Amino acid sequence: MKLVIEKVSKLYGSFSALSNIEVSLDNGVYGLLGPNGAGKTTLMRIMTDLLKPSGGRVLLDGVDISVLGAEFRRRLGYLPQDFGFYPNYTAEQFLMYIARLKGLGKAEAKRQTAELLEMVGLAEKRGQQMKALSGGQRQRVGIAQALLGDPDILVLDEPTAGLDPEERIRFRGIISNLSRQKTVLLSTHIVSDLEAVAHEIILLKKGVIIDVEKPHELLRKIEGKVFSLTVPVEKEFEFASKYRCSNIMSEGASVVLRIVSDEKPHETAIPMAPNMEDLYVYYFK
Amino acid sequence: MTSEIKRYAAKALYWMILATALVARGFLAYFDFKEFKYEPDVYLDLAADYWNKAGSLSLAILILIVLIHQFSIDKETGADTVIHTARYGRRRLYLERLGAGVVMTVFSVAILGLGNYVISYFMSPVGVHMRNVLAPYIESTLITLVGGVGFFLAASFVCDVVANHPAAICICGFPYVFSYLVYSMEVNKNLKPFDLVWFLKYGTFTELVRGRWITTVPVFWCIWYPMLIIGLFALSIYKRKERKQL
Repeated sequence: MKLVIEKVSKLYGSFSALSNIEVSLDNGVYGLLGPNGAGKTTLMRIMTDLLKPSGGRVLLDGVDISVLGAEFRRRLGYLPQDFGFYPNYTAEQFLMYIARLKGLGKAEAKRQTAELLEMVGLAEKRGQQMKALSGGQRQRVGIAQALLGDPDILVLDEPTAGLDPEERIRFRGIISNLSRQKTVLLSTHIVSDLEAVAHEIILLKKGVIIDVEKPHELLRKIEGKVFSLTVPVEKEFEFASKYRCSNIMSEGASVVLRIVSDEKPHETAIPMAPNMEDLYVYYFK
Repeated sequence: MTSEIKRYAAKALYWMILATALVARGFLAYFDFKEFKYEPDVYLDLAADYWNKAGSLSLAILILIVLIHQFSIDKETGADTVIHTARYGRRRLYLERLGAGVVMTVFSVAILGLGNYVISYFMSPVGVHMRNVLAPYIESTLITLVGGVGFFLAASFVCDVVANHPAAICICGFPYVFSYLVYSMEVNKNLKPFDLVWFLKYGTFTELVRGRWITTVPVFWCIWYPMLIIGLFALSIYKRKERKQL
């Protein structure tokens, strides 16, 4: 299975939200990384056939997804950024309803609903109304509904938003298990999640793809550009405003800055191994 | 379609409105009985005239408050994106919701009609039975059924287009209610065909839901109502295509 985004653009009036996006997705987890307003959600909405592109098209095995229609949606699981639900439905009722809309028979819908509620750790909350669930629990119902019907393509927009660290680890485990036989595209601001699960990362900035690489390849590109610099507290502002900092840590009378820079910021600066947060800061700050 | 009918049936508001309408009919029948105890014909005429006021208003409230809400609730709750990316979350769901709404409209007419019959029977003066006026009552009920289904379809298309339940209630509710008010207006006495008020009196489903055929220029209305429904359906389809919901 191959999902190809072919020269996709999206204009809102004269504003270009996406410009000439070209990327090809096979089985595996793809992370979509970019700051707010980069066009991540727009791209995901186009990929899920919720939004018509101004130019270009999305192809699944060579066929335009808008032509495939219901056949494409049969293979799709989608978790939107602002996941909405029927507040008076219980978690189980909501999943059963979505399962029926996905074309599952009653028995299969029931089986998958029970299995997914167990998987996301909500088996005991199955009878609770959605409006009574916490933000993180609702998000887990959102993840479960995306997985209903065992879709080949999973598009997850900010799936870990609102999840606590334990839930995020559980989510990563779920995605890792699924990645072998599915195409998963996920966007998140929590870059450590991407580092843990993504096979490739798509960097999106102002509606343009600036790079598509494996995480370690991207990190390799900024090797030698990350430094740790300890300065007195009164010098913090000077360095923090001059350089891109991925972390600032207070240590008594001094401050340890983690600086991402093409040149060494100071002779006492110590080169560090880059991580994904450094990468984010390097490309987007 | 069964799951959509179940969703309607699970709405407490639907049953509350239905129960309130029947209780209200009970009160009216009680006072009619007290007033016309010795004039059973009048009592019966009022019972058979149920759809003219209380019945048609109850049905319109059910349609506008409960039945058409299904066409905007996804947008209101934000569940629309999840639903529209499901395999059958577009065209099929739309048609199923329309079908379920029609079934519920028919069911509502049946329950209200039957409820009125039973209430009128039990409240009636001794020895009087509604069978004396059964034929006109059944006829008006059938007209209400036709009008009710038409009104539901038109209102649900409007709700689908505007994707806003309160706005749809206003757009469909005001013209509907205006038709009742025309009868108490001075202008009603000299109403001429194709005047604006004439149009508003007969052209908003109200007359049909009140259980009355429109006898003035009937040919025009035979064309108008199907065209109105088809036109609104076409608009709804157009908007859905534009929003990629079909």
